[in-house]
Amino acid sequence: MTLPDSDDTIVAISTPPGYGGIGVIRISGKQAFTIANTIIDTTVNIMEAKSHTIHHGYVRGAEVGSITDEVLVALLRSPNSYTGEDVIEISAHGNPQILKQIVGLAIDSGARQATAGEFTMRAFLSGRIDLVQAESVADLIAAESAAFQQIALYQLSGKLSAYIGSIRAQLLDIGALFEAYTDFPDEEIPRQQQAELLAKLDDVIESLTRLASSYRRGEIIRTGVQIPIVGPPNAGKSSLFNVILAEERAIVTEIPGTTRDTIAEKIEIEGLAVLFVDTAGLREASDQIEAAGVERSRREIKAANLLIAIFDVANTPVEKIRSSLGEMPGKTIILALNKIDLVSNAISDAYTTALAHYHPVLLSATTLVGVDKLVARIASVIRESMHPSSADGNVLTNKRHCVAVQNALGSLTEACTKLEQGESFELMAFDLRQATNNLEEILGKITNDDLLAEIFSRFCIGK
Amino acid sequence: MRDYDIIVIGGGHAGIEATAASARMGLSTALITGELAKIGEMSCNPAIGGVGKGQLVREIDALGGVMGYITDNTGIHFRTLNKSKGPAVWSSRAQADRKLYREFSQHLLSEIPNLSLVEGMVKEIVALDGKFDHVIMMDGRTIASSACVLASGTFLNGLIHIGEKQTPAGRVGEPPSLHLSESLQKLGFQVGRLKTGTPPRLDGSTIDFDRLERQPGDDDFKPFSLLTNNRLTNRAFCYVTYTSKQTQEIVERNLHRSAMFSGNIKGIGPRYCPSIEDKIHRFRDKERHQLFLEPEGLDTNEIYINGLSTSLPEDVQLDVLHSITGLDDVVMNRPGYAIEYDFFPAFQIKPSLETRLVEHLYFAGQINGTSGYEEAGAQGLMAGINAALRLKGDEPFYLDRSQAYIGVLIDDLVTKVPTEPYRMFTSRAEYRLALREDNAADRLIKYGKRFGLINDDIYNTYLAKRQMIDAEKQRLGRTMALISQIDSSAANGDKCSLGVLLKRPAIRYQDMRAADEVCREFPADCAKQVEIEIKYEGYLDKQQREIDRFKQFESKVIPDDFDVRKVNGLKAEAVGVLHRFRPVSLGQASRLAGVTFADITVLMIHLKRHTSGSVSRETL
Ligand SMILES: Cc1cc2nc3c(=O)[nH]c(=O)nc-3n(C[C@H](O)[C@H](O)[C@H](O)COP(=O)(O)OP(=O)(O)OC[C@H]3O[C@@H](n4cnc5c(N)ncnc54)[C@H](O)[C@@H]3O)c2cc1C
Ligand SMILES: Nc1nc2c(ncn2[C@@H]2O[C@H](COP(=O)(O)OP(=O)(O)O)[C@@H](O)[C@H]2O)c(=O)[nH]1
Ligand SMILES: [Mg+2]
Repeated sequence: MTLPDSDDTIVAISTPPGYGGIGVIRISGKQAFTIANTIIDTTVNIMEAKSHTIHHGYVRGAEVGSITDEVLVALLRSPNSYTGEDVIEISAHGNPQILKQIVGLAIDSGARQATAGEFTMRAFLSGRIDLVQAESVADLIAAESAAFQQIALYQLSGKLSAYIGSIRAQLLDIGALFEAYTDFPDEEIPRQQQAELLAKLDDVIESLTRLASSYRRGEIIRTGVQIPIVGPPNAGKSSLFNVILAEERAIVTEIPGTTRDTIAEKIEIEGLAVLFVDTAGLREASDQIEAAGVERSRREIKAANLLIAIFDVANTPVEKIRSSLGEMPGKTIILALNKIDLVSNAISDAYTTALAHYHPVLLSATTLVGVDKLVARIASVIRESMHPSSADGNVLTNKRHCVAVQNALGSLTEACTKLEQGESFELMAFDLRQATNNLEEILGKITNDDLLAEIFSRFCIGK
Repeated sequence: MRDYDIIVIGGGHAGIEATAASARMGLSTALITGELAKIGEMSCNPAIGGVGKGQLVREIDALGGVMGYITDNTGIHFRTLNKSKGPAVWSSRAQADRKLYREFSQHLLSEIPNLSLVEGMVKEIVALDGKFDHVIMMDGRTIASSACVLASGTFLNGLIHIGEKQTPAGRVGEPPSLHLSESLQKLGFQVGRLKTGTPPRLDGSTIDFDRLERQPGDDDFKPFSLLTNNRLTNRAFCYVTYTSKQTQEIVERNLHRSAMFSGNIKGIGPRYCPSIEDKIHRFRDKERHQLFLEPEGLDTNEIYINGLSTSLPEDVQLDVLHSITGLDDVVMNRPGYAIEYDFFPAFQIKPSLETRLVEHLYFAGQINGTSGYEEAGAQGLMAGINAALRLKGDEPFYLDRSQAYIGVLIDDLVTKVPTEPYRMFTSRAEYRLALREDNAADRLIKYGKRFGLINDDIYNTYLAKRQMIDAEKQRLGRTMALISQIDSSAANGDKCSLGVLLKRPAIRYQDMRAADEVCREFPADCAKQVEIEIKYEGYLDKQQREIDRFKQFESKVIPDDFDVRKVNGLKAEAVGVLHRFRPVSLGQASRLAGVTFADITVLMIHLKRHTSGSVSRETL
């Protein structure tokens, strides 16, 4: 992969494909104003108008005297624009044909069709944003949940970069101490100083460990939480699934084993994307298709950290529930006791008491009693698992960052071990330098054009 | 008419290397210097090597330079510093006999063919059409040559300060070089000013050595030079002493009389070799500062007091000395002083040390903003080699940061604006683990051989040794032994290869002698090498990956005709910096302050297009 030419003036439709109220065309580069001036008739002189002003005008048609559309033009002069270059944004009517024609006119006047992510890449190249920030732009556009959107915004603001930068500064500081001992001969490191160095290293290791472990959370924030609904056939899994999603998605039948495959649906709870999965019942399957479904449920359950286990109180003895739950070790289980409309209060009370350890939620998927309590429980469990006490915005959501942080941690842990064993400084200094490099990679201080090309190819055209 | 192929100006450590190299590469070379009898003078302490500097000396030697050989022959006290640390930072240091060092240097030069010595001071450098042409001497003589290496040290408009007293001088007792700096400025060079200092000299017969800690040399010191076959003997001692509470009081009381503190000196001094005023002023809590008493020679009682560089007035210097343990009644032969001098910030030279403004003119040594004999020697050698290559029509010789300290030194010079005299440290070398004293020949001897500075005998001796070491490493890898026989802490009867065993931190090569006959016979200096290479292997592999990445950027050459001002998308600051420093590669560009990683990416894109042959579209 190679990076596109950074000299050209580029153009692209920046709004999503299809019809819309308006559509926006963005032009960036040295020629942006000249091109706009050529293709748009306005009452002001675009070449001389002030930056950050909006003007009414007409895009000229292909033939002399004709017009393509009536538009608003926003003028943004370098360096105060998204790309850092001269930028023109044309708001036209949201008809794909019109938008394409305007792009065509711009190209005829010397612009080039932008490649995916090229506007953002220019922002990176002009030094306006670093790599972490650039990557967050793609995230921000793709964000499906409020939480992910917030993290992406946090990263775009440069705060995560600044945080990583501050850890890097700490490392350079410690490195300088190691170097001082290496370059001044026969100075032995005093014990007190050694303890101090270790403490400083520990601080950095702690920050990085926290950062590395935030990736699990970050990944959940990015991709959402998966919650399979599991239980015996006919416990009411599909019914509950439908109720939660408040729409008829799964087939509900009275014949055990009808849900043959998993069906999943995403909704937002607590600002997070939550993926509910309706699974086939865990029982001996009577045919092949169903067997495949059962197998898939088992996998689903195995992978999940959080699940809803549902049982039919009218038909399932307490012991059976206990033993089923006992087979799911290491999971956070929300226990739903369904079909309470079919049993007396005394019986449901008895279940509650017998299974008190699991804090069961009593409900009926038919009458909807207790469903709100279940949703509240789900929300509180997510809240607890997602927002550990020290939660800050420094959450890694990107695998590339996580790998680099882990590599840095590996080197630093090695440096600590060596320091404790009284090994020679130049070796620790080496480890430290490697860790510093890892952090610089995240910010893009160590450039590699393949990496850049890959990162920017994640974008849609127009960003 | 050319009088010589190459003129070298200055008989200091840079000048000696440049002269020897160019003459031995077959070019008629003249060394012009103020006073022939002062060739090889050590302006400061009579010591060669030290942390980071010992590495430079061994590199100079592996390339065929002379500093290591002179030191081996005139040294009276040899020691390896940093012994408690790893082999990458072991650094050799020798105390030389100042007079012998001078005499030996002069003798060595006198035996080299094609070499003339000319006494006198150069007043002016004359260029024609941007190319060096001739020099004009103070007495009016003109001497013409095809190329010139300027190595005038601390002499350019040198000004010595002792307390309130100021004397124009190049170093103590020698006149400064006047007019030459102005002649260069007239040619368009930008000048800067730096300063450095030296401590007082003492009469050793008035020092109470019995009260001081004696520091002997090492018995097993490995000579600096591949040419030296004999074992080196230590013929003198150094001594350690400390400043006292009283010293502190005296200095504090007289601070305003120090040339540096009173503001008389405008040049910037080094942080790492601070004056005693500086040390006491900056580190108030430190109760005492360590000082070394070093002999100046065998036939003199003169003692150099290392760590007490100062520009306080003479009377105060004497008070300070008397407050130091063992120096209660010391007689001061000469006071310490500070000197400030002109230098030419090195963005004005290329990595070949040729100036950008004047072709065939090279700058080497202190004139480029460095400090130290070894730093000067390294540059002198490189300038001499490059001037000779240029006249022969060959490509310039560069060493990069992963190959040598010399590479680090020159790269630092041409990518940074000095804020103080530049001294080498091991921490300046990011690939330090690979740039050791013990492997200097492995890294560099091939170049010395190529330029004809290393003769066949030396080269073949080196090769034979190298082969022995490699064979022994392989043999150790193949030879299995009972672990318990070598590592007493191992209990069970497992076997393991000697090579793997040697990787263990506690196991040394000699520990294997009990179990292995060949080890008993193997020569000690080769054994040391085997041990270092095996123990460091893991790190070196990791470092190699970094070096590979580094080389990717170093190999992206920025051609001479590439005009950064025409690159769209570079920030103005970056354009300014790039235009000023003219880096030769993308890697070098990335090390310039003011050039960001985004700028490097922009450059990378443009270079690709530039080198892929398509026509660069003008955007300005
Ligand atoms: C007072 C003092 C303190 C120092 N302190 C330290 C220290 O603490 N640590 C350290 O590492 N280094 C120190 N040094 C530096 C060290 O001495 C130099 O770095 C080193 O000698 C520089 O070598 P050079 O070859 O560049 O120049 P020099 O050794 O200075 O040699 C310059 C030579 O050029 C000749 N010359 C100059 N101008 C002309 C001319 N116009 N025509 C003909 N010949 C000319 C001179 O006669 C002289 O022979 C100190 C030097 C001085 C003077
Ligand atoms: N009375 C009653 N019937 C329920 C309730 N929940 C589910 N059912 C019925 O139980 C049967 C099986 O439900 P389904 O959701 O398909 O169970 P699944 O096999 O676990 O997916 C259907 O006929 C549902 O209508 C409930 O709370 N009360
Ligand atoms: Mg179902």
